[in-house]
Amino acid sequence: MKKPPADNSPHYIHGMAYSFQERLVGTFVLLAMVALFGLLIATGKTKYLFEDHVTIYGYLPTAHGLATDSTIRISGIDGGYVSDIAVSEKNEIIVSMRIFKRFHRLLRADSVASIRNISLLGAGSGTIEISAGSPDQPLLQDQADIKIQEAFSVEDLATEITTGIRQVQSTISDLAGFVKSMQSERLSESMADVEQITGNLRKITDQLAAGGGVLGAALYDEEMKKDIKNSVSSLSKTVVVVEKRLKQLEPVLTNTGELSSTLKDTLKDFPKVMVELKNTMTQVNNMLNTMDNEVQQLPELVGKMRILLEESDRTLRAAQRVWPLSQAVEQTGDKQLLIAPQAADE
Amino acid sequence: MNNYPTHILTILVALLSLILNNACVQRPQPEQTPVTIQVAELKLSSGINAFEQGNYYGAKIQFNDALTLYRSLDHGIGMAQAHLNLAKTYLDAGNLQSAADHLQRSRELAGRENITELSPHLEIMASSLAIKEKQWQQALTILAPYLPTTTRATHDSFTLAALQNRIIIAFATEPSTAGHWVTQLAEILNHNGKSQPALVARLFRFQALLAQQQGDRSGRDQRFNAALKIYRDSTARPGIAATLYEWAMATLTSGQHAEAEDLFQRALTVRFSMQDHLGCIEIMEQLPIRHGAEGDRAEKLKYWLSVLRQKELSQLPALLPARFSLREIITDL
Repeated sequence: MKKPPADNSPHYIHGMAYSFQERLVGTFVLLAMVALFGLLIATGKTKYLFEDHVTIYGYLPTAHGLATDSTIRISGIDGGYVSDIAVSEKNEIIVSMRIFKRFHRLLRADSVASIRNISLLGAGSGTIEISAGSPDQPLLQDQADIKIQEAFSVEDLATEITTGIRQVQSTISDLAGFVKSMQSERLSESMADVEQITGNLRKITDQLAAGGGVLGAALYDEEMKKDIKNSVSSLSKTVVVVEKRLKQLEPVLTNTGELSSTLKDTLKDFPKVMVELKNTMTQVNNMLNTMDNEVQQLPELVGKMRILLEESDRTLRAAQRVWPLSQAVEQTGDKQLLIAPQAADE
Repeated sequence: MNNYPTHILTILVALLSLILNNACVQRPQPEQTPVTIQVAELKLSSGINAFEQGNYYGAKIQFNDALTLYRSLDHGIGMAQAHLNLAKTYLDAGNLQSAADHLQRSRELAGRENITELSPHLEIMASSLAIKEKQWQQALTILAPYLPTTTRATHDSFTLAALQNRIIIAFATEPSTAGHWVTQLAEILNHNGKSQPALVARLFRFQALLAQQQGDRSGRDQRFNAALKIYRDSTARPGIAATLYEWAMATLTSGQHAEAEDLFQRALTVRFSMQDHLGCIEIMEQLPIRHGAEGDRAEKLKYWLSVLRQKELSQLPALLPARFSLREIITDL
């Protein structure tokens, strides 16, 4: 039997012109890339296509931090996503939440939803956290409404701080008015009068103190009697002076009363302001802590970006070696590392 | 569910293309240059870009960065290249001492690493430095092996640079022979066909100086204008500044003082934008500081000019007040 001749000829693909091979493969690669790209988009859109779900609704005055596809966590587990954000006739924001059926039994009448993880660096990154309800409560039905607690936004915080600052400003203004009302010239005049009165009183006290020890003897001593008479006369004059001084002091004392009353009124609000200031400071502190947490994540993010960029760089370099990109992308030749030779006066 | 066959088909196409790609098209992986060397090369390349724009300070920073990176790897060729680029930068910035130091370091490294391809660069640079130092004979000796023997051949950039230096020497020492060398340059460029615009502009500048020698003012102005246009089109600031300065000097020689002052001022503005302080001083020494320079103010300006003269390019912070003062002077002018 005649043996068939051995077929040593190379595969037809190797007989083709190299450029044609490149074109053929390039065409296949491009087609595949387009198809894969399409698939990726389709997969992203239909991620939850076959997942059974129920839909519940929440109402909010603002959708700050929320976007369609925002994650919904039920007791910390990813249990659904925001399917739609719409505006009601009352101009409220209606958030449609699609909850996977397998988590449905966690949703009870006492479940409460709240917005979490709102980033200060941008909107749309928040999640909705729903607390699991008590098993003895009725199940939340499909198309039911749920109460959503609003997140404390940066704008709210700024409003609080502004109110606090305004109150502090008002208190300072009151204090300034009080200080202004204490007319320094009048006060110093009154103080001088008080000093004079005090001097007179001291003299009287001294006279009385001197007479106290010899009172019995004075009853029989004419000279002493005369002295006492003089003293009484002097005391009488002093009383007149004191009376006069007291009259002069009266407006001062009246003013002091008024001032005390004003100060009391002013200080009445002070504890309240201090409490508000303390609350504001706590909120600012919390805000800074949140920012700190976000900033701490930056190095890791940068590291990941670097890895991603290196990977992309490698992929692009590989893609550049495949037709038709290999034809379109200009190959970088040797870099110019030396300044071209040039004459002296260029 | 209709998508199911499409998915399978797509995956099959992708797999098939990947197999074919590996079998027939994959080219050998290019040899990967270490990252440090790549960065150093990038610095050299950026420095050259800055140098070509007349940004000598920026160029110096890039070349020094590259030098540091090459030193960290004891990379002889890289270090020699960085030193040579620094030498050229300092030369153009007017700091001859630093230029000579870097040239010497580059020469030593090239000798140590046996880098023969750097020799012509080093020699042309040495001749340019000798010209700046007015060492005419020394410059001629260095240039001799590089000068063209015929105008009918295509010449490399070293020969063309050597010829330009020869013309400069001729204008400085034997003006009557300059015409011969300029004609030679014109013939070579003509033979080469499409030449670099910078070379054509340089030829126009030489021809303008020849016209000046012959008293042909209109020919001179025409050629300077032609050179200026070429430099402007390629935004080559050093070329623009050099042309304006040469033109101003030529008009000054012809006694056209008003034209000279206008050209000097234009050159001054360009050089100031290049942070070429020594170049600015060179112009300002030609211009009497006539406006607002009286009493203390004149003393102050003199002081800052002396600072500018003394300080090197490397001491930019120290130069900042001087730069402000210089700006003031230029505004006044």
